[in-house]
Amino acid sequence: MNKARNRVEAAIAALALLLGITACGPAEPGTAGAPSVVQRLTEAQYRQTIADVFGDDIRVAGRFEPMVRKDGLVQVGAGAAAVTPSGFEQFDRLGRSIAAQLVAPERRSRTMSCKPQSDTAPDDACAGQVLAKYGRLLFRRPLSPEELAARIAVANAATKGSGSFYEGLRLAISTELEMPEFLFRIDATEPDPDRPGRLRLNAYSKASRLSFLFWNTAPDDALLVAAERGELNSRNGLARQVDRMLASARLASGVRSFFVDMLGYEGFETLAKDSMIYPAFNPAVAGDAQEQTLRTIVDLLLTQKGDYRDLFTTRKTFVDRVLGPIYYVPVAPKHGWISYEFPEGDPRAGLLSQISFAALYSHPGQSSPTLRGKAVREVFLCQKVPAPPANVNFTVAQDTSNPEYRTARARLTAHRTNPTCAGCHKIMDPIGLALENFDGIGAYRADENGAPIDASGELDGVHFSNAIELGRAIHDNPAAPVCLVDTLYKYASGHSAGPAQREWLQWLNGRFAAQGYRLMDLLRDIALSEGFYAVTPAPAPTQNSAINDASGRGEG
Amino acid sequence: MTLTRRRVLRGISRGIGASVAMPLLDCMLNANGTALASGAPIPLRFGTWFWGCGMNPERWNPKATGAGYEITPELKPVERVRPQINVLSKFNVLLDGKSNFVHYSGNLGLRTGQAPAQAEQNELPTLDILIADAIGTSTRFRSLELTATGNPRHSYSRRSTSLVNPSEPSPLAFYTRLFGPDFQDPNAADFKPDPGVIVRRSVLSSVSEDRARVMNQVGAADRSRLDEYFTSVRQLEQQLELQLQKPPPAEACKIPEKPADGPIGQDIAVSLTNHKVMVELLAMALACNQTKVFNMVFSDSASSLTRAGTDMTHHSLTHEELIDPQLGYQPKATEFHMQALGAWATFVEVLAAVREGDGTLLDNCLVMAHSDTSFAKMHDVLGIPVMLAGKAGGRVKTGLHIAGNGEPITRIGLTLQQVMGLPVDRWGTGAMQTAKPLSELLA
Amino acid sequence: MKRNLLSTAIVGSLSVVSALASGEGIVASQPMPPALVGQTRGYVFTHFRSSAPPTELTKDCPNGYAMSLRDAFIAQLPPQDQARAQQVKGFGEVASMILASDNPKDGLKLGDDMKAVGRLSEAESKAYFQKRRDPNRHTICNNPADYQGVGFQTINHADPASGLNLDGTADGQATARTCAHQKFADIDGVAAVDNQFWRAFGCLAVYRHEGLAWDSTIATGDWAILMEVTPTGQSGKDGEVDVNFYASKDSVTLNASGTIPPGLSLEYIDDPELIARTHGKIEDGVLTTEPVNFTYKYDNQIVHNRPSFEAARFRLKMMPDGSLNGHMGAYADVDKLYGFTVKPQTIDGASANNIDCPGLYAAMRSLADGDRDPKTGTCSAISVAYDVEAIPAFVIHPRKTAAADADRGASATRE
Repeated sequence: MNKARNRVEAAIAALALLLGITACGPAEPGTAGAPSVVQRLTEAQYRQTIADVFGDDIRVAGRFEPMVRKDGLVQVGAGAAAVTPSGFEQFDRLGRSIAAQLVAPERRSRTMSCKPQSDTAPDDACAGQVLAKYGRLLFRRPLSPEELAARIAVANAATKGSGSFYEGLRLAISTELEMPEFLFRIDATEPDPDRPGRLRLNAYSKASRLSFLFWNTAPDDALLVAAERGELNSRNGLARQVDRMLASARLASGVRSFFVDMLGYEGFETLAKDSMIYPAFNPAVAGDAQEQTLRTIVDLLLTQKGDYRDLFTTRKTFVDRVLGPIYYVPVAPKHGWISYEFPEGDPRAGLLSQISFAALYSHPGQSSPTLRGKAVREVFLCQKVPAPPANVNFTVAQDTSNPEYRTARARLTAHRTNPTCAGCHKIMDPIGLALENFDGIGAYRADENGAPIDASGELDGVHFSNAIELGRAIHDNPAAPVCLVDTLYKYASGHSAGPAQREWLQWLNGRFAAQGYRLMDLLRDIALSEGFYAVTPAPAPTQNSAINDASGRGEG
Repeated sequence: MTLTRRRVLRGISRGIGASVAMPLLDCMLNANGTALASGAPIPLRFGTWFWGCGMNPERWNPKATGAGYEITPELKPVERVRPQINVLSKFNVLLDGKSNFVHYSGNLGLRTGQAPAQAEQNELPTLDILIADAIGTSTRFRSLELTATGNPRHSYSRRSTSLVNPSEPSPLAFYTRLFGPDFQDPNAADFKPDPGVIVRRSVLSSVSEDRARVMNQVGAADRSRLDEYFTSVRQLEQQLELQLQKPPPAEACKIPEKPADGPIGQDIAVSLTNHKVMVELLAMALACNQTKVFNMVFSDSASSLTRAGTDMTHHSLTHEELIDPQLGYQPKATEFHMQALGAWATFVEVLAAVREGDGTLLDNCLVMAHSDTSFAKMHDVLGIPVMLAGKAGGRVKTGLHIAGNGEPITRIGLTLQQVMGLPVDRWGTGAMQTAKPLSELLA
Repeated sequence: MKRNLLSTAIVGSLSVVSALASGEGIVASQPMPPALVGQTRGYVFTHFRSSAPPTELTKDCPNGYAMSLRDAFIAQLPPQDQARAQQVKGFGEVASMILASDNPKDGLKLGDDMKAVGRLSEAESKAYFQKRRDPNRHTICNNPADYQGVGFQTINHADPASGLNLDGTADGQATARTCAHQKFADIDGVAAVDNQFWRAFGCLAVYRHEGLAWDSTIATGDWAILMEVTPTGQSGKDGEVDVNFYASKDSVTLNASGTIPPGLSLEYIDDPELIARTHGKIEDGVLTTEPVNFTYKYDNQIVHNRPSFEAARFRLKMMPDGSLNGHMGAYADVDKLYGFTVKPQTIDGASANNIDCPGLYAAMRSLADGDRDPKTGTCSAISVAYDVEAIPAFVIHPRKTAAADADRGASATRE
């Protein structure tokens, strides 16, 4: 069935190529869009924005409260996150510390293009210049006259209270780093002149959405200027910016951020392996394993402009001396990475055979076919696996000292034979069992406890006998590219797609397939679509909401 | 009364600075009116203490009730603090037909009074949030969350699914936050409000100036999150306000030593060490009136505690270890929760060792220790073990065993809230709704 | 981490379990695959030190350990002076005592207060210690031949001891290149063992297995020896091999369990003095190499040496777990050997290990069995045995420069 479908897809693509209509294809279906969701900046976005706005030399030393993953992405969790009291303490500390670095004597001439008339008295003009310049970049839009006046007033009062212009300026800058306009991405909408009755994001919100998707940071000056000039509302103007951003080296960092989220890498922060069973594993291995996978992805999808599905089959990757002993390959340079291609016939190919996947989806002291199978289903195929029943009795087949059950396959027999278990486990275990040649930290093994490992299984009707063939089965599975589109949309918009966007997503999927599953083309299609910037109105405020009470909760 | 704190401080900070004695206006107290002058009653504190993966019911639950209950095999670790605690057994989390989301429904059901409808989601706030909202607004910190597991995500202090107070995993960072540069020693002889803080305070108030406009821009779903943000800003303003006032003396307050920057993580040896250090710091934080509400996590609900040399976590053992036919329980898994219970006893001892007023710090606390299941192997949410410690300033008795006999566990949460002075007569939803506090506990 | 030396047990065969590194870990480890680059297998030695077989002290040294320098000297003093001399404890003071009795003017003074040493700057401190260890100063341990040893005990039996048969004889009779000497009995498949080093050093506590307080400094990353084994005959067949030895430029890295993992990538030092090339063969799972002059680089705290050996040969068992385990047997020039064993631990003229330097040196000379001078018939080199273990590692060839290319002969490196 899959083969037939692939042939049809290939035929369409070939036909499209023949007719030279790859760039065209069917027109974008209209969509009302979805309600815009306020997203809190993630730690990565905060850090990247500070580096981009102020410079790499500014140290961001502080802790960020963790964000809850929602619908499979931290970015969607950002759309549900708030700031707790201890979280705001941290943001306040960070804001003051960053601002202190900016106005420090050795740095201030770089930060400011004006000098105050006096070091000890307010200078509204100079303070205003600085606060306007950085406020625009931090709020991702120019400050209104009232907003700027309020910031200047803060600098003024703080200068008088402290007796120092720079201290006053420091505190005023710190407020810009603590205000909701910076910490939260709050979209502004306007009526869409091309589609009466519908709303679209205003130019600055468009710029934000575009910039966070491509580069995972706030819009740079050029993009804000384009927004100011209305260029983002014309197809050509938007395309110019989109192509500029796609061509930039910063695209790699944005793509990395996406995959770090999709692959669940914050799990590495708390990943622990038993050091007696896996003495080779340590934080350096954990860090470099992620880096290896991200390099593989960036190389294949951006540098080579390859087919996304080849991530599951590619033998080309990168290795360094930290990972060398686990992969058992020679690495000539003492520091840094070499590109490495596993030879034809090697048991490894694709992301699933890399240390990052094997180690993250395993237990501290053993591998886990179930965790790995579940990850493939949920991360790469976007298929939710139901939770286990609460009263499941695991000991039935979990006696690891039983000489009968030497391999994981044998131990998981009950998963397959017990009807209560089989329903769900048959969609996970056969996938994970194909990866059993890679132990709990991704090192290769031919057998377990002396018994040879049988790595055969099936995925949606496609049979395979080892990890290589599993990779191919995922490559060929139509759910894989659809899942990427879905996940990318969720990441870009901060929420899952609703039924109203089904048709639009299908259109996007069609284009993805027609263009050879190239990520950059997909990003371009999303960024140039109307659906990406279409928003439905936010529900109106209710009568008795706290909004009308200026004092809010807990105030005296 | 329209004079707000903010306006007064603005007036003062413009132009002068140091050595201003702040007048204490009634309108500066919050609705709960906690007095700040010396001679005030010692504050009541509330806390929760959590360990994951329960116990073996037939070895933990005593048979006799009241003051003369027997110390069962799994209550042995807490025998040494028996006079200070209460044991509450056989109270149930009732799922009301909803699924039992493993290592979640029991814990959050107990803490919110409502069995969650979805895994990893809760609509209602946990009871410590309710209590902190009521009594926590006049201290430097509304509440303090700690974990001995090394992972800040291990926190069950949740206003809603995504409004989670992160736990502090590092003893050193906890110390710095409490007793670092922003600490005001309540027993310091002289006090001068720091002019820098005056300026900061006025500057910070500008952050929420545009609150109304921001709230108008966003949809209803987002409004509550932004509300939480503004509340957090307010909390920091409050901290700064308190820094500008001479704190009332706290006789039991002694600034502790800075702890070492040691490892954090889930090896049980590491967790036990860090737990002890953190409890000692917490005790001083309470004695120095830095907060009145705290939440401590010893191990997370699907306990990821490990021990060097075993290849399985505590949680894995509860499922995969065979029940020893002679002992009648899982020895390795049981060892973990016995250690957890020992840590709870240490917690109680540390608080009881601080003299305060005529008694101890613990006498002025009410702490609830609980787990997420009773028998973890089956994820059983019936009979989840609960223990209370402290006399809540004389409001509760100690030394008792109370058996719930299947009653909803919300009776405990209701009682706690009432003892802490919340005007609540019923708590819990659906089958767990109750209006009956545990009168046996009340003094 | 005390090294388990059961792998060199005299009696019986090697057990597989003990051959696994350090015996730690609760799970049987996977066998180590070969570190292959093309046809070449690479190795790093994880253990490389002079053999200290786990034999009994009473058998080897019936009179107990060899007397220390101090005790030996005191023993030959007149009885009325012995009690007073017993008070002298510090090794520097011992040297002073001995030298003073010989030539009062030559006595070294240990005048410096250790506290004063603590106040010295780093450069001053370095200079101070260098002076104390100055190999050019005339002292007992720097010039052992000038002094008389006192009854130095050596090992005189013919029981088994570690090593290889170097001179090719069954009974140790003199040959054109070697001097007559006593052999040790068969061990571990090797008959007629030559290990005169063991006879000389074997009664020194610090060289015996029970006295070993330190382990290989390979694990601390100071130095390592690499080896490449490449088949020269028909591929895939046990048989003829080329064997190269190198000194590693890179430190080894350790696992969480404190062992050296297989599969490390280690680059060698491109210095011809530290590269040895020879041939060998593999038969019945044992690799033996033909004699080659071999120098390695040893670094341990303040000691930096290039121990060198003549006619070194290796006998290595290829273990089921992928490691190699065996011995190196070689001849070492007596003066050079003394120079990289005893001299580096000499302070203020005496051995920090309280070794009776004149006695030991005299023993080495008299036990020397190699490098026979045809005119005088005396030998100036002594047979030694090393215990060695190796695990698979990738030997990285340094990047070629034009000059290096020119120097290199036909046996160019493979990359």
